[in-house]
Amino acid sequence: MEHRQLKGLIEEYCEGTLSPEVYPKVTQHLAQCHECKQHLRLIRLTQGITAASKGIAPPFPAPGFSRQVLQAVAQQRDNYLFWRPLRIVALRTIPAMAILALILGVVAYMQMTALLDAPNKSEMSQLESYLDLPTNWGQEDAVLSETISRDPDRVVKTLMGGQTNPSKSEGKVK
Amino acid sequence: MADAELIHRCQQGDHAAFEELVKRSERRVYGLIYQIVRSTNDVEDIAQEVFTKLFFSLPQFRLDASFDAWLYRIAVNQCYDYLRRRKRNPQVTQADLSEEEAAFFESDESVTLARPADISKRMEIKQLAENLLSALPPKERSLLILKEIEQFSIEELASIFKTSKSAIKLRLFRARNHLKAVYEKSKKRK
Ligand SMILES: [Zn+2]
Repeated sequence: MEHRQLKGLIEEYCEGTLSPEVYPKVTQHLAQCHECKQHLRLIRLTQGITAASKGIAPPFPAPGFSRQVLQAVAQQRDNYLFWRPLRIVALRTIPAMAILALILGVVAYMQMTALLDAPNKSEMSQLESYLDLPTNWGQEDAVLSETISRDPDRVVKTLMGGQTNPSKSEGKVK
Repeated sequence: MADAELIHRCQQGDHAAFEELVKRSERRVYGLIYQIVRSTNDVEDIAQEVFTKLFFSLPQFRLDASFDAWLYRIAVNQCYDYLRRRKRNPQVTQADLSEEEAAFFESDESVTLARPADISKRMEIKQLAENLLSALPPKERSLLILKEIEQFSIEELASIFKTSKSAIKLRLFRARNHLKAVYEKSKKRK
């Protein structure tokens, strides 16, 4: 056994609950491992402080204590019985509530992603005015991609400066 | 009558059986509460709350589970409640340790519980230790008390707190480191 396994056993080593096979292994390891030795010291020190703090005058229950408890039980019984049905209902509905919350969460998530995928018209126009885009910018894109797919050679030539005056339908391409 | 039989009767609503169950465990519960809250005056009230809660929670108790862990869990939670409410503004960290006192905590003497013979010295050490511990949050302090004074094993603590042994060891490690830091600080101040 090595440090990784043994360091977790030092508490049990101190309380004396290790098996007779493991105990000597921990003792042996402690003799040579600084980190584990430090842990042992920490346990011993805090054991010492805690034990020294032990209250030495614990009060004892009075002879009639158990009677007193029964009286308190009798007093609280009505209260307990009164609220018990409500408590039972509350406990039973916890799983149902959890499932409901989950479903609502999923629905809300789906709605949100749907909104993000398809922004509505007013949102789009707001965005356009914010970005100061020409109102026909979507159409221009469509024309450009159509041109590219129909006649890629011409586009290449245009870009290379070979042809500067594209014909009619491609007129809008810049 | 065996505990399991007694508990079973309590679950059927047998008040005499419950009274007997209280009598069997009242001293342990008193001791545990006292060690955690350290206020003799409030132990009785807290204990009464613990046993009342026990009565109403017994119908949910499974007979194959550990009754002690069940009872102690209620008691520890009740103590936390009390400590939260009390929010005692502690006389904390007024503990300035002399070299001699520090040497006491660092020696094996403190662990073997061989206390200094002199009673006034012993009380002084106890007060210092109590002050150091009171600087810790209630949960850390209680865990150390359950471990080192009430002598619960890691396994028992795991069962009381309904968690794994490694989780308990991690919590203990944190609480010990915290206590050590408080200790080092008060040693430096001297
Ligand atoms: Zn090691």
